Amino acid sequence: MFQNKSLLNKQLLKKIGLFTIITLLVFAAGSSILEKMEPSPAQVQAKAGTVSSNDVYVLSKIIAGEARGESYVGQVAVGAVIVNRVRNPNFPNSVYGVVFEPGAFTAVSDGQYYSEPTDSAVKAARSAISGWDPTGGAIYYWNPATATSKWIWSRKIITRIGKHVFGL
Amino acid sequence: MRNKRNWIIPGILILALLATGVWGLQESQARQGLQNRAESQYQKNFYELVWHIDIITGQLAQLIVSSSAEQGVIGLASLWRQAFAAQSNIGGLPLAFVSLSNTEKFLSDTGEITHALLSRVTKEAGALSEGEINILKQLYERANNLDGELVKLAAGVLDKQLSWTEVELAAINSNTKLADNTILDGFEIMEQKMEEYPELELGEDFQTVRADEKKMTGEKKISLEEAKKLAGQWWFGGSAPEVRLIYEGAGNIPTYGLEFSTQKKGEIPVYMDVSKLDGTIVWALKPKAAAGAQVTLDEAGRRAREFLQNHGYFNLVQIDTDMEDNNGIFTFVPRQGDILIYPDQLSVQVALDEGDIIGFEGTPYYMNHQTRNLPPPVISEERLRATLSPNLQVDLIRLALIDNYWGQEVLTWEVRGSFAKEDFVIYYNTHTGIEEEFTRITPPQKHNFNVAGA
Repeated sequence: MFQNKSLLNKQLLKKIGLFTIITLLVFAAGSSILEKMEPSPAQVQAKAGTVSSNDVYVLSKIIAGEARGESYVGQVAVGAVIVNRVRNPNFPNSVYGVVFEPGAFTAVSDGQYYSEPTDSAVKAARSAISGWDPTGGAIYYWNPATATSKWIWSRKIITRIGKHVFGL
Repeated sequence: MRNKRNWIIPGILILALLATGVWGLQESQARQGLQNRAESQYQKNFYELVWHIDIITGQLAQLIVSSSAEQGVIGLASLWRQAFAAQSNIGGLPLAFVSLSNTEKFLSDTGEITHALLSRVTKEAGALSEGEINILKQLYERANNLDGELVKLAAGVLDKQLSWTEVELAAINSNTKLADNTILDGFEIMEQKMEEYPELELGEDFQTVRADEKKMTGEKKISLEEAKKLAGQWWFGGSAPEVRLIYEGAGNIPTYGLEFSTQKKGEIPVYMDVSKLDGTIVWALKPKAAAGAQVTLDEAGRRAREFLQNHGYFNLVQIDTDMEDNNGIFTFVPRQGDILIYPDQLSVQVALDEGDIIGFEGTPYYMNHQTRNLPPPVISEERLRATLSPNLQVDLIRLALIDNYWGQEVLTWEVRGSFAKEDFVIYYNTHTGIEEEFTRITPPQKHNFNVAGA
């Protein structure tokens, strides 16, 4: 009886030990993989298209991060909001200034911005910079399902495209 | 023996625990380091903002009491610069979810007004008029208020050791509640006080600060069914595929947002906005990726013009061509007599593989187009030519109607020319001869950036 119990204890201890070691290994592997996430040059070269304007590229990256899964028009709309902000005297007057305003865009805060844009985001960015604006002049947009700020609902809504609401 | 074995597993456990502890400590130190760096950026922007607003306040007062024309010019130039710097400081603070539009409007007004006054006093070499001083007095009142609020807030932030990164985290994360709301409350109070001020009175001799965006309003005259039919006819000329309403626009123009798409796989949808007022197609987009460039840019430009003519847009001048990724974007403006009407712009996108039209943007044309009453120029082309800089290699001079800096339509002489590798467009008022706009149009340097596959 007594012996049995200590045996059981030993097995339990062994299991816990193994579990800890495995967890540690997974941790170590995980953190080293995360650090090496930057693509190697060979990978980069295998990618599809190219863009040759800084503004279009920055805009396409933010569109890719913010309007993933949206229709093409939904993507142009997000780009148009940024272009409208650049033209609005109350916002910074460059694409970079608007995109990198602290906390202005989730995709910048959570790092999605720092991956390569998709083809359709690049096309959408180019349309937005060339003047196409499905929102009709919006300077804000938010996703009603995930918006955390109450203040954003005080804006005047002018349209809804896909899962985003656009406002002034 | 048995006792020794009993120590093996707990020993490993303790080692593992220690390792985890060390690793965790390193991670948290690295994180703290990053947070400190972000915090110092925010602190710097905040205290610079306070400082710049204080300088603006003092500078405005100085201009009001100064009687020296020379000091006036220096003061205005300094104000213009400080207003810009303060705007940039606000842009660098994590306040994206606080409404600061009145405060920001005050700063942009200050910038624009001082810029306008600066060009006025340098042109006429005169002191500030009584009306202009009155504008500065109104700005001073507002600046003084801002200054007071900000200095109070800055003292609070220092006194309570408040952290901007915590404000930022609370804004991003709805679960985190701020222990101290001094910063957000401070900015909210400041904004409320700014809101209480009436519109600036600018007086008659002063051009209005940039006009608000135009907006088209009116009775809705077109039903959704009519809009669908009109749009189908416009783009497809009859046999239009299935169409559905995907949104209704209530921005500058009340519109129906339509999507035409067949159920066939690989078919590209066409998106169109139709005005509810009269059924005009405001813009259209077909997100097609052109596979190559079989059609020349000239040919594509001809097709763009033809497309516009087929849809009732005549007498156009092509003013801009842009090509990227086997896509040509052509911009046109209409002509009234010999005069190019820049506010009434139209753009057409052409895919260079088959030369088909993949985009139309006619918002500016729809919102502005009308026959205008345009008086003949007071300053002749010859007289203008004589005043141009000998350093400018002139390529072209023509009459053009433009929106000036203040959003007002003015008749100008458009001069296109170059110096070294720089290309310029300059617009001279045909009435007064002053430079209304000076734009550098040298094509930007191009680089190739990578794009992920579909």
